[in-house]
Amino acid sequence: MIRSRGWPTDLDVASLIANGFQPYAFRDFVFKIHQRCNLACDYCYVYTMGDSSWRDRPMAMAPEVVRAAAQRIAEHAETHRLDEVRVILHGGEPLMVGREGLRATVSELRSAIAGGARLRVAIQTNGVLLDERMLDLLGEEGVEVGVSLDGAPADNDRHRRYADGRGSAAAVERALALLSSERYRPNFAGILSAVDPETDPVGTYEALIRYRPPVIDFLLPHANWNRPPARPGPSLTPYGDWLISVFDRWYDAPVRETGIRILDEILNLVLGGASRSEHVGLSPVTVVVVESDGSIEQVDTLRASYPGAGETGLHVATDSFDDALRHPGVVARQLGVRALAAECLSCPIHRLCGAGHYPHRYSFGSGFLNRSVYCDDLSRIIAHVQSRVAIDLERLSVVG
Amino acid sequence: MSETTGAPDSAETRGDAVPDVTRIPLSQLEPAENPVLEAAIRRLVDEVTDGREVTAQFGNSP
Repeated sequence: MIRSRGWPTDLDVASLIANGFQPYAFRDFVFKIHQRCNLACDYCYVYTMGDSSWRDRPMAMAPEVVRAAAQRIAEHAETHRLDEVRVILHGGEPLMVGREGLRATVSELRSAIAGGARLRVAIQTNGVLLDERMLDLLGEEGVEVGVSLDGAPADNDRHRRYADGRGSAAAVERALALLSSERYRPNFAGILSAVDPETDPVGTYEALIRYRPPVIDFLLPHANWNRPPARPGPSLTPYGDWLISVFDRWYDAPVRETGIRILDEILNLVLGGASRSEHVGLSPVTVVVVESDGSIEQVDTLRASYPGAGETGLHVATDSFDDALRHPGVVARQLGVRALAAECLSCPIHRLCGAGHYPHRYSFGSGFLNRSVYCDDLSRIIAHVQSRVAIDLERLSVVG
Repeated sequence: MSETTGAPDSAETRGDAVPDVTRIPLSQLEPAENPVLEAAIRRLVDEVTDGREVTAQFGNSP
């Protein structure tokens, strides 16, 4: 197995704590309840980027693992007096555990965490198995549902396909038509959509808002300095350009049609606030993953960096989530500006971009102490938002 | 600190190009012509008023 020796492997956590650093409690607990997927998307960080740990884990999370993890969450919430925690059911494709598996998982969670913190349960699905029976169950259990779709059918099917090459759009669109109906809409959390600079950004946005999602989350494809993103066409910042087109379409609409997570967070940062997303800004990341075998891991998107990048060596049967709070990889993501490379600190917008999404900083040798491989794209979209907002705020100031 | 809302003075965060939004009276937001910006300012004001710790959530679910 290839191991990075770069930062933050050598982070001196004991010294940081001795000098006043206090870890932030976890709020988001990602449960990998099923390791396999019924799609074979070509950009998936779980299966296509060199990490094959999914092969060695149980296909589905066993009830005793769910119970142990839920009890650890209750313990963590009590220790830190948290008023709310969120469990995100994830995979693979989490709906592959089936209706009874889902019901049992949610029941176990609610039973263990009853009486303490408020428990929110969400699921992130590719939508292929999301039919009325499944939605009825998710509604009964109060599960928030996020679906992945990359825009119009032809665009979605460029990457999001079955193993036999068929596109998934038709099935996902059927699911979204149901989920956005009045009956199921209360459980609709939003749409995840990977940015492809070869698609029409406005067309993609308009294809998604047909379903009236409360939020669209546009994600930059996973890449790093050893595996840079595709940059088709003459532009040096195709992802930034793409997001600017979406921003202008969204920002200039006569009504706020939906939330766009990355743009809402950039707006909030530009106005002086803090980000609630791990993709931009310097807010401490309070996410932890429980794998199907009960292993406690850092965010699983780290798999896009190198095999085993998310491992902590901890397990819900023997270790608490407080133990994970002292892992160098977890601490590194709660250090704010202290986790930025020197080249970032000299940049005027480093507090806004926060060096971007952590996995996108990785480079073999130096680890994660680098600027984002999307640095130029992030700079471009942030500068654009700053410029648009500055003009509008100046007008408000003048009117007042 | 802003005298209007108690928000932290974060000019360093915003960059020089953006005025201090926390100094704009809330009543002035009513005629704002941009609903996206208005919602963003209201969110910020709510967060400042609420005073809760802001942390970053999982990026692979909305």
